[in-house]
Amino acid sequence: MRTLDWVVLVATLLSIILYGMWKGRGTRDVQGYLLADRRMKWYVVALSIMATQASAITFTSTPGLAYVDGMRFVQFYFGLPLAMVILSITAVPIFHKLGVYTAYEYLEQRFDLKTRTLTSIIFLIQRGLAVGITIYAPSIVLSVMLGWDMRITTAVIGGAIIAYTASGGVKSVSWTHFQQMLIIMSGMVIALFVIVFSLPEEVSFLDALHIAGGMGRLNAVDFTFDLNDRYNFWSGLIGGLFVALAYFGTDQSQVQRYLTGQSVAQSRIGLLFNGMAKVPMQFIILFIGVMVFVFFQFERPPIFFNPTGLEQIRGSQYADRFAEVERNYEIALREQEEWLQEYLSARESGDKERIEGALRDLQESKQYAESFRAEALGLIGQNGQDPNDTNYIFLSFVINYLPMGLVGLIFACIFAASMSSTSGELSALATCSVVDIYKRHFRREGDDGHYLFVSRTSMVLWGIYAIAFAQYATQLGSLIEAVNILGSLFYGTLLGIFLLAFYVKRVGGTAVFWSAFVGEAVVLSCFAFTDIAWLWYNVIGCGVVVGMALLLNPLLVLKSR
Amino acid sequence: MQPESPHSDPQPKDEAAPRLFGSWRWLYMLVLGELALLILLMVLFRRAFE
Repeated sequence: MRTLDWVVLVATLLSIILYGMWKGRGTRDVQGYLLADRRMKWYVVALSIMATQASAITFTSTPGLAYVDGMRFVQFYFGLPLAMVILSITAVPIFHKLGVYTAYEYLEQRFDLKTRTLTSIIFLIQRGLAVGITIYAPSIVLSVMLGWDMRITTAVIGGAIIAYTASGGVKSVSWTHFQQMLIIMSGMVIALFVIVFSLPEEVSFLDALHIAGGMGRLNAVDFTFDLNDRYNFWSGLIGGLFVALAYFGTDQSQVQRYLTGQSVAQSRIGLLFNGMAKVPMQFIILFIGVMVFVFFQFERPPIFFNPTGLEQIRGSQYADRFAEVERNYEIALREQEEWLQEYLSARESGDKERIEGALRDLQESKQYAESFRAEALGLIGQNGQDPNDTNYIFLSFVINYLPMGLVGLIFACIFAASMSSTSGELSALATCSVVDIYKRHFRREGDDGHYLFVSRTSMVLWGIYAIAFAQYATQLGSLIEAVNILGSLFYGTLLGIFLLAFYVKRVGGTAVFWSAFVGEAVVLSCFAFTDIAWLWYNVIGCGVVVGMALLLNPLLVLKSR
Repeated sequence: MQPESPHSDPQPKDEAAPRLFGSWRWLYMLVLGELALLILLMVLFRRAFE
């Protein structure tokens, strides 16, 4: 990074902290601190929802995913707009009408205290683990790319977040989300334009699209029904709907965002805007990755995008074999470049048969080159390193090829994304700890000043915990997926509880409470004893909780008579 | 005191839809219609360049 990049990065981060502190000034009561006085307009609610969901990994990993696997990941979001409509009709008016601070508070009013406490604890465990990862995961990537010690990266991100969240509470969080999302969106759009204009002069935008399409990178929609395929139209629509319902309807880190809305209408429009903007936003981020892929057809890419990992393997016992694979990869890439030129010249000639032939040859040469990359990744895996370099592809492009100033802006976007998701999670954890646990079980009769102090302390403590988790979790690389799986182990149960609360009037708290345990046991058994893909745990957990509660409730009613 | 049932009035009165859209139903249709349109465009996009 050059001086201008540093100036842009530092200025952006400082502006976020100062803006957050300024917007949160004068917060003197708990409602202001934990719910921003319920005075947020729809556009703040909408961008706050989007910013909480978009973590730094979204912007580092998603373009890399498109580079490797094409655009099919976009299908994962097809269920989200449907979930936004369902939640706008059901959850939003109920939460607003009852004036709750947390989603779980509603469960006590609807069922009983034990159900509320159980769901709060599930949330605290699940989100408590996730918040450490939210800081830790991008820190590994940023540290490698910036050459910083990882402790500095986590301390910078965590310290900045604590500074404004602890001082201004959710008001600061919501307004900085608004600002961060604007920075992120403008950074991504600028990046897309610069990448397209970075392609060789003789390559038009249409040529770029044909190259991407010909190499299978524009595979945005696939209607094939396959339970083992994680991303297709059906898994995206059905599995994605359940995930989105659970995440936006039962996870306090999202519920808190729309509870800050000025009215039912403002919260609803915020959610619906998210429903309209999410798919195009993900499409653009993936499309950036596709354009990076096209760019690297003309510029020779490294065989492995993680620079530290490359150094490690080159100094390992596999160094000789790796060097040989690298040489073969270079030769294959040179051959591929020749076929690419032939394809472009065929397209210029307009001869359909020649174009099809050249495309076939290009695809074959690409596969040949990819076979050497696969061999290299295999060697890296054998050396005990993580062979997945998806997170590093986009940043490698940014550092090596983007102009001065824009590099700083993209890194600022990634820091902003990390701060936005972490601050949303911290505020939700603090709110749940204070409202659902401390205030309900430890000190029910305190004054507003006392709860404000406890909320502020809780925010700082959760922040320190997140930094500490990230500082000392040095072997977490392989656990990141495990934590995602851990989330899906609980989401189905949470969703089942809330569906019963919203839609089944006759079911009582005790039936729901015990059904939650049965549902959890079934999901854990699926995890331990079956090969079912973890995305389906949400559907299974939810189904068991609902079915079990419907069976159990009449028996409990009979017994009580 | 028993809390008021949240199911007694799931559609509070203060929630008029933005005038631009007429009613909430139209806004919901707009969100789902946009999704359908985006999916169609993505299918056409894929077919055009593959």
